[in-house]
Amino acid sequence: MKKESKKTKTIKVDYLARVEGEGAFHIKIENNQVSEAHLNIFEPPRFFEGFLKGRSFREAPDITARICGICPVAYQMSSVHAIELAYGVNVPEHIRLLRRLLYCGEWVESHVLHIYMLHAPDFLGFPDAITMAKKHRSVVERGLRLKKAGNSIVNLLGGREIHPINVKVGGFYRLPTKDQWSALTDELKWARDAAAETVRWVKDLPFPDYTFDYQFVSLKHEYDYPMNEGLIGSSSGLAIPASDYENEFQEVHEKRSTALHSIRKDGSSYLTGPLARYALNYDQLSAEARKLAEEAGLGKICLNPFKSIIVRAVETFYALDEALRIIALNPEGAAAVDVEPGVACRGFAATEAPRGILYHRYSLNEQGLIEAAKIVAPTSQNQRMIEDDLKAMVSGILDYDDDRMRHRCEQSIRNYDPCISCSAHFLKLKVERQ
Amino acid sequence: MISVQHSPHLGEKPLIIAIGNPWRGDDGVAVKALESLQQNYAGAFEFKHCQGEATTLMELWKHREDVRVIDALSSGQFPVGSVQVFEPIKQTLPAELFTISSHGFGLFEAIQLSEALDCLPKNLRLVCIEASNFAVGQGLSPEVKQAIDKIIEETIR
Repeated sequence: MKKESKKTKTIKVDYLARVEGEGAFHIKIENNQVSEAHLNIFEPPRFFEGFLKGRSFREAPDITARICGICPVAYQMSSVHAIELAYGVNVPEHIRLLRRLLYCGEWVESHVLHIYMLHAPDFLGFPDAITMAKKHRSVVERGLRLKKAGNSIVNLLGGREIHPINVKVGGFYRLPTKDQWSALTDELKWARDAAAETVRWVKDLPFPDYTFDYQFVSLKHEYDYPMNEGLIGSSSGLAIPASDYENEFQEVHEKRSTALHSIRKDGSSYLTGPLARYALNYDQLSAEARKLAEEAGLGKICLNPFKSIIVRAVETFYALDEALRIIALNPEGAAAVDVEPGVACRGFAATEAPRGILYHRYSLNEQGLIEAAKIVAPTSQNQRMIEDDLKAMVSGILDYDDDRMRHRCEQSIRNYDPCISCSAHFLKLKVERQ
Repeated sequence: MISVQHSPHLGEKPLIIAIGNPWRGDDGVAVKALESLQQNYAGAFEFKHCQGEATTLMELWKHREDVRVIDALSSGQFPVGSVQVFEPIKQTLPAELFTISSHGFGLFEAIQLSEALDCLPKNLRLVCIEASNFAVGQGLSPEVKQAIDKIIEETIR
């Protein structure tokens, strides 16, 4: 190994505790300046793109749901929307609403897991949620019950909590009854109140005074806070359909990393996920969600990534508010519309996974078999931005000792809730300093 | 076939939870074992599968008396394919095996958090298999595949 000079410091974290799965982070400081910041945290779903080839379009929702244990609904939603676009299928309003309801469930599950079990301990000085539970039992119990409320939606509409199986191109295999939804309503009302309490709880956490000038990218919708529908918009004025995604964004391979990094075609990095959704769609939040955000001091745009925990809490509240609104509408009708293959065609979709935009593209032949698939996950899109952010953030804390700096770096990475549950596990912690 | 002996609590069948991703090489060993168990012991147990996220595990075993969990390990401390059995109520779990070998917020954390919140099942048995290959889309390693009978034996006893 090349010996570093006395003015060079390397902090390497090969295992990031409380990120779902694994992570490797490497920062190099030379002559009191950050020269490199590399994050190797996400493995794109290339295997699944290959595995989809030759499969019927009808299999895509179930196969892609296997890519991620945390956000299978997002994969299902992007796949069905892309294939329906390819076949020119428009689903009826009740299907549209129920898909949105299913997404609400997944947002609640994912955000609550991150807020309570992974992110909050950072701010409160606990090494993990277990230690936090010993001091704040009722808070952790509230988080567990809140997450279960999200589970209950996914379980009822998705068919089961883990890897839902009830989603198909054209709709669902079966729909829950009105009585089944009614049985959930009281618990969802409790959960909405608990989510409001969560916003009030996290708003007072001690946040570092730090902002970053992000280029935000998220779906934008005329009247809905975006989940399944909308144009891909940005804080720099972009407004394109998903079919133009690959004209505006590209994946680049970094030699130093196994991961692909997404950037704009002009070379700029960008952020997708809660901060971007919130900034670009504040007006589409419900009035109560906006009021909570205002009480929490968020403003219409939040540029402090540490405060993403507040935005997730506001989105959790919104998702439960929206779930109750949809259930009250009592969406009923046929479980699905028929979709039959015809001509060879291509379809594209982007939906809002809890962590940000999830892009799918499919090429289908006359028999409805998939000839090519492309999937770009949100964490892959955020990876370059996380590195940029870390580089800037570490530049401001060069006087920290290694342990304190590592803790701040881990906390910063968790700000983005990187989803790596679909990549390999089992990396060991290695700290190297010379 | 091995006979099954257990004392159900108020008629409740023991719950078997398989952790892992069948699309991730040896990480799918628990699911393979679960498939065999479901075929041969359908009336004797309840069966669940998850990917090991802690709060999901806690939800699955909450209010249960008798739970057996099957999971792959990557501790580097045992021969590949060897089966280790742990009973958290009776012994202190060797944290070094799980903190580097479990999912990020997974089985070990679920046990610890359940202990902190007094909701750990009275009888919890972990049947863990040392594994080696977690590549996407690969099948089981030969040593791990051969261990399935042993896994089943330790799970149902």
